[in-house]
Amino acid sequence: MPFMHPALFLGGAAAVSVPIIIHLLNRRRFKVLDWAAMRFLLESVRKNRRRVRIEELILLFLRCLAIFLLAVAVGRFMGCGTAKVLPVGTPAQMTHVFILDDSVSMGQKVADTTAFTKAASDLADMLAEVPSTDKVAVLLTSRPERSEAVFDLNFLTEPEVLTGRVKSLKPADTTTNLHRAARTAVEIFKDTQTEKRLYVLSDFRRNDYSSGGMIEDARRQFNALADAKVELVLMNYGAAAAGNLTAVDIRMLDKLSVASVPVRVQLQVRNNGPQRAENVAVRFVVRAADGLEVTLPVRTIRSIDPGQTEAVQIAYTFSDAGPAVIEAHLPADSLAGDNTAYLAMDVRDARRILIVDGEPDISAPINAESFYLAFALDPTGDGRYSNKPDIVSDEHLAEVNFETYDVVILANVGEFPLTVGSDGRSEYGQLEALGKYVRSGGGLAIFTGDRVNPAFYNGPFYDRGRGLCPMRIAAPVGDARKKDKFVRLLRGSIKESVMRTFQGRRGQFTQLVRFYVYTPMERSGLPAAAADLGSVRVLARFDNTDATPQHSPAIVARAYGRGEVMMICTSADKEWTDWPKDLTYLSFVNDVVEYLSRQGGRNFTASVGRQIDYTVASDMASARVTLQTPAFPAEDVIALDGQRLETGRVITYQNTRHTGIYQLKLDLAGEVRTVLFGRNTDPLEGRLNRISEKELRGQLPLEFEYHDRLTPAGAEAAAAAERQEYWKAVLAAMLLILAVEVFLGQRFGHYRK
Amino acid sequence: MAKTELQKYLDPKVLNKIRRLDLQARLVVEGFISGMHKSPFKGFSVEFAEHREYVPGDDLKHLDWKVLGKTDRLYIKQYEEETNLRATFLVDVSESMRYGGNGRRDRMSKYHYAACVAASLAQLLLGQQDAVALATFDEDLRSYLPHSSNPNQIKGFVHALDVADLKAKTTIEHICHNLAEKIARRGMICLVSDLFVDVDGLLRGLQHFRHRSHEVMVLHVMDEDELEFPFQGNTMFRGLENMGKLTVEPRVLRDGYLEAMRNFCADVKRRCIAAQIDYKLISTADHLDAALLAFLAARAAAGRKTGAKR
Repeated sequence: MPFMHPALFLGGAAAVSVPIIIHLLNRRRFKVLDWAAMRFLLESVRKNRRRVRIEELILLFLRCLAIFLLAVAVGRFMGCGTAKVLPVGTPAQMTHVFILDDSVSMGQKVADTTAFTKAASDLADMLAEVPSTDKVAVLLTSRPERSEAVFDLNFLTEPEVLTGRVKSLKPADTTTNLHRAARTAVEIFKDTQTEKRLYVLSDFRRNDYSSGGMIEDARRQFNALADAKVELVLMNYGAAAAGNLTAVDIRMLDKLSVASVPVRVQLQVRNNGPQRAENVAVRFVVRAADGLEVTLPVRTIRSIDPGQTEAVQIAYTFSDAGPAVIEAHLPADSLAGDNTAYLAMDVRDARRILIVDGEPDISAPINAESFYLAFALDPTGDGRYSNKPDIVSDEHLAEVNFETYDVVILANVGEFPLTVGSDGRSEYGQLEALGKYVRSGGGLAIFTGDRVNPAFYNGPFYDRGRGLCPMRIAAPVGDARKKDKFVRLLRGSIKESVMRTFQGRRGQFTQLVRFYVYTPMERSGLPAAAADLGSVRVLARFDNTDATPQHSPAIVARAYGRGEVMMICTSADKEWTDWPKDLTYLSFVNDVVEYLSRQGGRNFTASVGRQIDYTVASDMASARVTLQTPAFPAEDVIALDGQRLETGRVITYQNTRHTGIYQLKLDLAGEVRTVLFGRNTDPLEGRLNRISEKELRGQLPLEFEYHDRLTPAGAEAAAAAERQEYWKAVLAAMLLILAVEVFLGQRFGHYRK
Repeated sequence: MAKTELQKYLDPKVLNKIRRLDLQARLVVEGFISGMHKSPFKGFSVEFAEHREYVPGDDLKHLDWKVLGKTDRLYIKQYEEETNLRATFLVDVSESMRYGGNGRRDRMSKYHYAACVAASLAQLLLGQQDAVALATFDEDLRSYLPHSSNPNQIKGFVHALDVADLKAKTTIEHICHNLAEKIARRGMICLVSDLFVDVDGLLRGLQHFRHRSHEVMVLHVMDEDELEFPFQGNTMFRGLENMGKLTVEPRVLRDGYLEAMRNFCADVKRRCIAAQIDYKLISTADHLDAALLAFLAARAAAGRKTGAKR
């Protein structure tokens, strides 16, 4: 509606009925007079009735018109400007394709409406004016495929239905897919013989035209349009960049969220507005698995300079395990769509650790290789310290499924068992499984020991620098029986935060730990970095001087795919060292486990449009899988079947159009497991800088008609002045009409005394 | 002092405060007479004209025996002819005459005014031994009081006006015809009405009187509202004499109404004059002497006319 205040206009227009009501009421109210000279009166009536009625109607019409004009003036009539966008006076049949940008940034506030509302309303107005002989198609950038079109190419038999539908559209949560919509338009125009016109109603953000790949594709599409002799009309609804804060990223700083252990969450906020933002209040809401909703005390970011990003952190302790969500809300600003970020989490009851014991001792567990490790991780044996170690002996290694663990620790494991593969040849099946596990993000810690088989370690395990074992090893140095000589950690060699037990002032703790036997590195040195394998970092060295090499690496680490491998060149029990009996061991082992843990929850949260991938655990492989989108209950729950691959059943869902939380429910005979996925607005949508007409002409390869539907701040004042002119003119017209009404009233004898 | 005192009763607003019609009539007449500088009534009484010598064939009863006794000559006494006036008042008692009475205290209804005019004139005539008669009518003759010059006649006259019931419609023609047949001697006919009747019929009836050599005068009594139409605001006009109802905004009809009313009055007047009928339009707001003066002027004119004839 071409009004600044449509409600006021509608109210005023309703008041048009007031004169009519007064007229009718007046007719009902009269005084009664007994009258003798009736025949003269009747004669007068007979002669004048028609005239009187017409005069009354004229006056009534003038009064109604005056009130209507007042309503128009009060509603701040701004003129209807859509007519000129449609071609005027072309008798030939035409095909119109409208592409309406419904990306998040179109939700920007403009006066008391949004750019999208204005664009949709303009589109509806244009649709209402399209001649019935023309064919029309309406596309949305969030649903750019032809099969998803709001209205596919056809005659407009019921324009009201379509305009009603267009007006009820809301901006989607996705980014602009103009190039894909343009591709669909090209496809539509392909079979069309008539004159073609393409209208793009968008906010033309600079950001959408700076990312290389997309603009290339868009240019290709526009070239195709130029070849098809399509007239292009661009209607720009981009308002000037106003104050806008964008939730850029929300992430867990800890690798895992474990119940009853504080988990740290960080939100990054970017100031996309032109002014510095002060005292930004960020509200965090936690929705835990048990339905508990907690609003945390507001965190304030002191100030964010334009174009800068600041982070705010919280720590929250979940009391129970289960799927949980942390939402971060920014204060309302000109673009509402980028103010909320969702972090979907899977809160575990404990970190699951697999300890493969190369030297188990069932009769006296204290002598087992894994005893001190298990004790350090879970001293009470009930998971209270958020670690849940599973200990298996290396004989049972073949039966282990690594995927269910966050960290795998090999303690004095001699070698991996050889198995018979599907092709009949023997192979190290579990070694491959472990490699895949680490590549996909798992963590592996290797403690050496007397059982270690250097041939295996330097052979398939090291695999010429591409295997899991980060370095070639030599035979152990030292005598475990006599324990007469020992080495310590070299104080100056300690690096990285995982070694914080010995860092800084705590460096003196190195004096407390003695290593009587250790596994030295072979002379060949450390392997070179490969594409997906990082270089081997030495986190600590021994202070040995005699054996070669001097200062042999004690602890090394290497990024392996998405995971990490760490090798500690001594035993995990007190056979080779007295470290396990020292308190620093406790701290060190826990730090290592935290450091190596598989990143939990990273796959759960992503930006909108990113597909959901989930591999169903083998125990739930035959479960019924349903997905509830954030649009529920407007959208139905979707049943997903997924694909059964070698690795298991993989569920994928691509249409993540909405921001918010997607609930994946696995239901196996009443046992329900819920997995949450968060989808957040693309942070680039918050960058509201609009592209100028000149730049647009430079970017697009064809001529186009350009309409700036929302003038930028400078022209805003001029437009406002123009609007004022309108209401002044309307008021003047109203006064004129009132004057005419009084004059005619006098003339008709209504006001004569 | 007494003069002005009495004259004020000519004002209908003042007169309206007096309830009894006979009293009103007397006050009007006295007020009227007191206002005259020279009484025109002196010549009206039986008047000696001249003596002439007897010639054979004269009626002996006119001999002046006194002169004969004194001078022994035969003289005949001659008088002005005995022209005792016989006036008949036709007063309209139809429903339409009721207008103007209710609600407005300082105004008389048309009927009240008409009755007052008629009674005053009767009083005046009786005072000089003329005979008066009264006929009240609506669609029929309602009452008829025959001619009499007895001073007590005024009582009957007033009574007949007082008891009139204003209910029915007006039709005047056949009443005129009846009365014209009934009144044998020629005299004066005075019609007091608002004339909301068929004008053609009215004129035919009145011409019957003229045909019988009566002097006819019409006192057309109208309420001021009817002449001015001063109403404002939505009004439902409820027609008297079953004329229906009409809800209108009076201001927009005023011009048309006044034009119709003027045309009507002018038409009646023109046709009356053409038929040698005296016509006087009186508003109930006018002082009553207007009516009396009009009557007397008509009377004088009639006298001149008969004189000229002889």
